[in-house]
Amino acid sequence: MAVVKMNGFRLAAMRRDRKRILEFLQYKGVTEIKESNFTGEAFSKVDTHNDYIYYLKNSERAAKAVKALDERFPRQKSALAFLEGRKAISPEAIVSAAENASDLMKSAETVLSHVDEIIEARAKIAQCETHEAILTSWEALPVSETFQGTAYTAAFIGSLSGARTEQSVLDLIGRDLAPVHAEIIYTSPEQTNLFIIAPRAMGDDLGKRLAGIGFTKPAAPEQDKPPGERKRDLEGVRAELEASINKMESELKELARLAPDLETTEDYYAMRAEKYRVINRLAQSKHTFILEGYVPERDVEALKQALEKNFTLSFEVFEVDEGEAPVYLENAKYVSALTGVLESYSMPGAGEFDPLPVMSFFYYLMFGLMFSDAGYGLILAGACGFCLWKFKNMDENWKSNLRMFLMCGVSTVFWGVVFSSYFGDVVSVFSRVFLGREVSIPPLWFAPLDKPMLLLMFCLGLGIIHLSAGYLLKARHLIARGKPMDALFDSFFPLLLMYPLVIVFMGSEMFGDMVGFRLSLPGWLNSGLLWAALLGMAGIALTAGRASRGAGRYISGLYALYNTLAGWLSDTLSYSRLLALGLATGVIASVMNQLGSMAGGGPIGFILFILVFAIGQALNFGINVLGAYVHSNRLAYVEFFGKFYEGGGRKFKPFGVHTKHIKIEEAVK
Amino acid sequence: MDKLGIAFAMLGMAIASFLPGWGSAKGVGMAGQSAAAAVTEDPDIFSKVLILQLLPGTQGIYGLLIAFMTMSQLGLFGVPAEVSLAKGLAYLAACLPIGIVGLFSAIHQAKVSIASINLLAKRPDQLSKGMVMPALVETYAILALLISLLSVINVGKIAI
Repeated sequence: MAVVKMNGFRLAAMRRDRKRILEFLQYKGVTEIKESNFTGEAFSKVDTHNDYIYYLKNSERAAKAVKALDERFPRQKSALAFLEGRKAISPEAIVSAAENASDLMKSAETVLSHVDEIIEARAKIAQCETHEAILTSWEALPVSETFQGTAYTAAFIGSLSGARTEQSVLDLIGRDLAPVHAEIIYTSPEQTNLFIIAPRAMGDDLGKRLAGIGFTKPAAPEQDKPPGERKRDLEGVRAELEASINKMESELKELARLAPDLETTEDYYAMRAEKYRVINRLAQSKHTFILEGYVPERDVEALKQALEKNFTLSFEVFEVDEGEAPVYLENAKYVSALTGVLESYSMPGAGEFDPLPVMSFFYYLMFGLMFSDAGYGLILAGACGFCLWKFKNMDENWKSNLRMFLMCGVSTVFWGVVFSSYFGDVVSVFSRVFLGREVSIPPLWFAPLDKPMLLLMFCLGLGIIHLSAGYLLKARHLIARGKPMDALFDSFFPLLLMYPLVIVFMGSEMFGDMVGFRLSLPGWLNSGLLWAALLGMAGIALTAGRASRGAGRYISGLYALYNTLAGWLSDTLSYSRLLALGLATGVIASVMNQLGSMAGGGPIGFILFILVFAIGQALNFGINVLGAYVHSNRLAYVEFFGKFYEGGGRKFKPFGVHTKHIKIEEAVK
Repeated sequence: MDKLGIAFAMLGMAIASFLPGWGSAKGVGMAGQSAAAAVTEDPDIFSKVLILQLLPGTQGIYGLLIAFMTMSQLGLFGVPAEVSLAKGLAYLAACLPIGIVGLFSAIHQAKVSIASINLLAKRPDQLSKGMVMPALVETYAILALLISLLSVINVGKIAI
C-alpha cells in the first residue's frame, strides 16, 4: 500500500546466454534496465541502434499493412472491441511467430506495394480518361491530325469556335474559292472540328483565309496514328490497368486473412525492438555481458531463484539512493485506479509517501458530491461495472479508468440519495403530470435548494478536512525524515491557527443565521480558543522564516503568516465549487424535466417527455461528468497537493512485453 | 412604478442567460477552430480536444441555470409572484455576477483551452494537465454562479 521499495541489481552472465536471459527478463517484466556504467578494459557498449530501428520499422510496416487491409476489408468488430484487450498466446506461439515473421513481412510488403500501385494505377486511369475525352471529338477523323494532304491536295485539320455546318464554313471561307471540301468531324455548341481539303494550288490562299476566321490546329497533334485508333489504344491500356487493379484487389482480399497474423508480427517485432534497445545499455566483453537495473524488493527472491535455476550467472542486489530509484506504487484496486490521475501530476519524489490512499478517498467523495445525482451515478457505475464484468481481458489502463469511474459513480449514488436527486426531480414531475398524484422521495439528509447555506458550510467544512489531511501528510513526511520540529512548525501551527477559529465561527450568530444551528460555547472556552489561534499565528510568525537570518527572519515569518491566513481563506472558499456544481447538476436536470412536462399529460405529452428527458439528461450527464472530473482533479492538484506534495519521481518502466495485440500467456516457466 | 419590478427581474434573467451564453459561444467557437486545426494533424486526438473545446461552454449553462432559477422564483411557470420594484432590482443585481463574470471568464478560459489544445497536439498524453489549466479560470465563474444562486434563492425571503 505504498511506494514499493526498489533495489538495484547487477547481473553478469555468458554472452551466449544473452538472448535467452533477455527474453526471460522481458517476459517476467519486473526489471528496469539502466544504462550500464560498468567500466573495464574488456568491456564496451555494442551499438544496436540500427537493429532497434530496423525492428521498429518492421513493426510499423506491419501495422501499416494491417491498417490498409482493415480499411479495405473491415473485420467485424463491436463498438466496444477496444475493451477486449490483448489476445493471450503461449510462449510456443511466439516461437512460431518468429519463424513466420519474415514470410509475413513479405506479405506486408506486398500489401503495401499493392496499395501504392493501385493508387498509381488509378491516377493513370484518370489520365487515360481525360485523354480519351479529348480524342472523342476527333474520333471520326480517318487520318492523323498531322495529315497535310496528298500530292494534289492540301488538307487542313483544326477547329472553329461555336456550332457550324458545312455550308456555313464554306460561306466563311468565301464561295469564290472553289472547289473546297469541308467535312464536320465533330460539332458541339462550343466548337466544331473540321477536315478541309482543296487542290494543292489553292493551299496557301486557303491557309491564310482559315487563319483569318480563327481556325486553330489541334494541340499536340504529333501523332502518326489517327485519333480513333489512339483512343482504342488508350482504352486497351485502361482495361489492362483495371485488370491489374482487380488482380491486386483480389490478392489483397486473400491477404486480408493474414491481418491477425500480421498483428502478431507487428508485436513480435516491437518486442524485438525493445530488446535491442536494452542491449544497447549492456556492458559487453568478448564472452560475457553485464546488465544493470532496478527490481522491486519483493520480486528479488523469486527472480534470483528463477535466474539461477535456468542460467549460469551472477546476480547481485544492492540498495540504491531514493533519488535514483524509479517509483512504483502498489495499492488496493480502487485506490490504484487513480494512479493515472496522480501520474499526470507527478510521481512521488525521493522519500515521499504514496499519497494515493488518502487522495483517493477524498477524490471519490468530492466527485460524488459534485455529480450528486443517484440516477446519473447508477448509470455511470452500471456502465463501468458492466464493461469490467464483460471484458475481463481488457487493457490495464482501461481497467483502472473504468474502476475509477465505477467508484465515482458509487459515491455519486450515495450523495444523490443523501440529497434526493434522481435525474433531478423526475419522480415528482412524472408522478404529478402523468399519474395525477405527486410522489417524491424524501432526502436522507436535506434538499439542497431548501438549505443552500447549510450545504455550503458543509462543503467548506469538508474542504477544511481535506486541507488538514494535506497538512497531516506533510507532518508525517517530515517526521519520517527525522524533522519533528519542522512538522510542528509547518503543519501543526497552521492547524492550530485554523481550527479554533472554525469552532469560534461555528458558535457565532452569523453561522447560526446561515445554517439554523450554532454551537453554544462558554465565554472562557471562546477566549481560550482565540488565544490558541493567536498562539498558532505567533508560532508561524516566529518559526516560518527560520531559513533566513537576522531581521529578515521575522519579516519572512510575517509574510508566511499572511500567506497561511490568505491560503486558508482562499483554499477553503474554493470548495464552494462542490456546492455550485452539485446544485448545477440537480437544477439543470430538473429544468429538463420541466421542459419535458410542458405538453402536459396524455400520449403526446408522454412522447415529448420521453424525448426531452432522454436528450436533456444525456446532455446534462455529459457536461457534469466532465465538470466533476475536471474539478476533482483540480481540488486534488491545487488545494490538496499544494499542502504537502512535491513529486518529481520517475515512474518505474519495466523491460517487458509492450505490445498492442498479443500478450504472453504465462511468464517463462 | 411597482409594475416595473417584474420587468427588472426579467431583465436580470435575460442578462443571466445572454451574457454567459455569448461568452461561451465565442469561447467554444474559438476553441473549436484550434481543435479542428489540431485534428488535421492527428485525427486520433479528436475526443481529447473535444473535451477542451467544451470547457468554456459551461458558463452558458451556469447562466441558463440562474435564468431558470429566477424564472421559477418569479413564478413564471405557475402562479406569478408579487415583485416590488426593489425586489425586481434585487433580482437584477443577483443576476449580474454570473452574467458579467460568465461572459469574460468564458473568453479567457477559451484562450487557455486553445493553448491546451496546442499542447495536446504536441504531447497527446498530457490531457489532465491540459484540462486543469482552463479549469483554474472556471473557478471564478463558479464563484459568481454561487453568489448569483444564493442571492436569487434568498431575494424572495427579503421583506422589500
